[in-house]
Amino acid sequence: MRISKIIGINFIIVVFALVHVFLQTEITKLGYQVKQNEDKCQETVDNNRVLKYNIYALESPNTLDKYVLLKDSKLKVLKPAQVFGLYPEHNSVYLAKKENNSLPNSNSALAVFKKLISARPAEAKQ
Amino acid sequence: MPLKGSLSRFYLICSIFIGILFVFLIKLSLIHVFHSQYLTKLAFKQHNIYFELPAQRGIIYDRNLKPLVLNIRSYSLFAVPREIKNKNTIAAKLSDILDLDKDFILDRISSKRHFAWIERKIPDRLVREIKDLDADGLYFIKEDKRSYPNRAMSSHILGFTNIDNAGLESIELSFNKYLEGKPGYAFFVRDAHQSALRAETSDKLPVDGYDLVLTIDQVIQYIAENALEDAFRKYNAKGACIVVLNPSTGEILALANRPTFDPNRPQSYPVDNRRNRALCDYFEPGSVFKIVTAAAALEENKFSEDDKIFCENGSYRVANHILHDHRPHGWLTFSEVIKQSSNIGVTKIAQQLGLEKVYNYAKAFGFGAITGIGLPGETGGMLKPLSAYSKTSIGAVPMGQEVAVSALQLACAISVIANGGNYYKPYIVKRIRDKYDETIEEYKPVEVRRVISEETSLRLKKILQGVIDEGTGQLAKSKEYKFAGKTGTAQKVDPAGGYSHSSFYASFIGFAPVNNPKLAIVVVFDEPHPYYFGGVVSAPVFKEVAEKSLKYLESEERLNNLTNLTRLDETKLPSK
Repeated sequence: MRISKIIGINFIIVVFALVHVFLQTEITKLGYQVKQNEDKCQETVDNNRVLKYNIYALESPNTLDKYVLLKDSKLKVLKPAQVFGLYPEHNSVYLAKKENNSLPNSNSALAVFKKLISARPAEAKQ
Repeated sequence: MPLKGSLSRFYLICSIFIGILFVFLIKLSLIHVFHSQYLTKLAFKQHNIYFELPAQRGIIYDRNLKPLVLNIRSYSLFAVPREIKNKNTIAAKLSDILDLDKDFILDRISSKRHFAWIERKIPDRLVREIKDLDADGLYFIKEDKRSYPNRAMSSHILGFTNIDNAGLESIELSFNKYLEGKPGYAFFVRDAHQSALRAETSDKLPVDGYDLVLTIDQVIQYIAENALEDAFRKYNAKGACIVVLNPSTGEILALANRPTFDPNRPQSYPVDNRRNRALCDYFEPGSVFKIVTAAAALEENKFSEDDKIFCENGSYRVANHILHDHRPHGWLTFSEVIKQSSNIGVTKIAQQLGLEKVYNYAKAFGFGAITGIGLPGETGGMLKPLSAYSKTSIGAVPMGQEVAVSALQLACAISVIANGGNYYKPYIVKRIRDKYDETIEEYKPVEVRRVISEETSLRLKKILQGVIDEGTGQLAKSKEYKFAGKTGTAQKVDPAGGYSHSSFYASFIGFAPVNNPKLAIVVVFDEPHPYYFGGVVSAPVFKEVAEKSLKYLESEERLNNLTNLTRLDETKLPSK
């Protein structure tokens, strides 16, 4: 009776010890995995920052002026009547308000240039 | 007997063991009682790694939230010298890749230190080349690098940072406490390979720096820089600057200087290129200062626009000094004196007013004191105490001699006339915000004082419009808009004494459009040649910047209107 009790207690202790060791091993494994994933995530964030920087550098007025306008781009600023807003959820179409004064020089280099660098939403809205 | 001997040996051995145990007990007590803290720290150090988590420096935006500076990841190379085997070969290869002196690298990797920087913030292309070397003892650390996507554009406004991302110039310096943030830290469990293991950590997260939203408009800035650059090259000037203000608020819309520099690599340019001339340089303004005398005369009701003044046919003695006009004039009206920029006429106006009045108005227009824009190195110019002026000063101060001003002060002064008579404090930072777009601090227009009445301002506007329409500033005349302004050509002070006859400041101050001024512009060139008149060198720059900027502002308004969409009558739409 006494011996079986001792063996029982020992068994429980051993089981607990094994579980503890197993958990520690798993924690360590997961730790490595987390670190690996964190590194990947950081890498992606870093690349994203570099790409954003490149976009802003390309959107810079310096670059636009040099590489877009000087190459006689065919880009044009739309007239108000040519601008539509599409709202599929309402199954309706909106047209830009036609101003009394139509856009003078809307195709001028400055207007195109401005259009390119302005932070306006796209003409067609979804 | 033998039993007695064995017993005593037994006791002896027991005593030795007990003695040893006692010694252990004492040592153990000493460790636990006296050295516990030290040893705990030592163990903690062995099992954990401490990392400082750097805070991300704040981003600087223009008024339309276009980023003017960003942080991008870069790699810095360091060496653990004891791990490097072929030091000579590695030094030679690194020298080729990094374009650094071989002896410098050899010195670094031969030192007895555990850590030695080789090069900070290396371009990615070079990082790949170094990684391909597959050399032991060379490691990289990721660091944030301040990057300016517009390169030299706005460089004097933004400034730059040092290798540790601490602000060194301009906004990067003066708003450093907002931009820098607070670093955090983390303790990681260390594995057998000494690498961090994300199992048990204790972190204090870094607090990122705040973002700044400037009053600068990237497009107007570009227009100003471009026009200034062209004229700077055309007229071989030593230096140049331009300031564009919103006269109704004091917001700086653009500020540029020449020569300039690229803040991505400021060390590649002479220190002189980094000087913000618009704020830090002061000069005798010459004829542009006549707006102060004219404003004082009209405000004090000493003259009206049609009052006749005899301009002595180009030569007039004041005390022991003889004044000259650049072209002889006889009788001119008050308006014509300003339009033709007659030195003699202005001196006669000032003589009627008295120097004290001119002096007081000069102070009210903001001369002689810093504007308080909040950028480092701003000069207040030079306006001596009234008692320090001599008898000849009445023939000098009213036409912009014996006083010194900065381009920014001139911009604020012309804004007074443009906005109806109020002096606004200029500012360049509109808003400070955190990463979640919560406003930390907001800067609003500050009306400092009323300088002249609205009526005087209207009268001056007409006179200054005349300067462009039929006076010295005709090269600033636009076919599409009405502008007002004043030219200035000031001789530079000769270091040998007196005024130089070959070195000039050519300036133009003005606002546009006359009826509803949206822009106040100051253009200054230092030693342009072969042409040196403000009306020839600076006025065309004013015209170009004002015209293009106004068109841009108008197109901005139109584009805003385009977003007001009107619902179409669906019945009239073509069927699908």
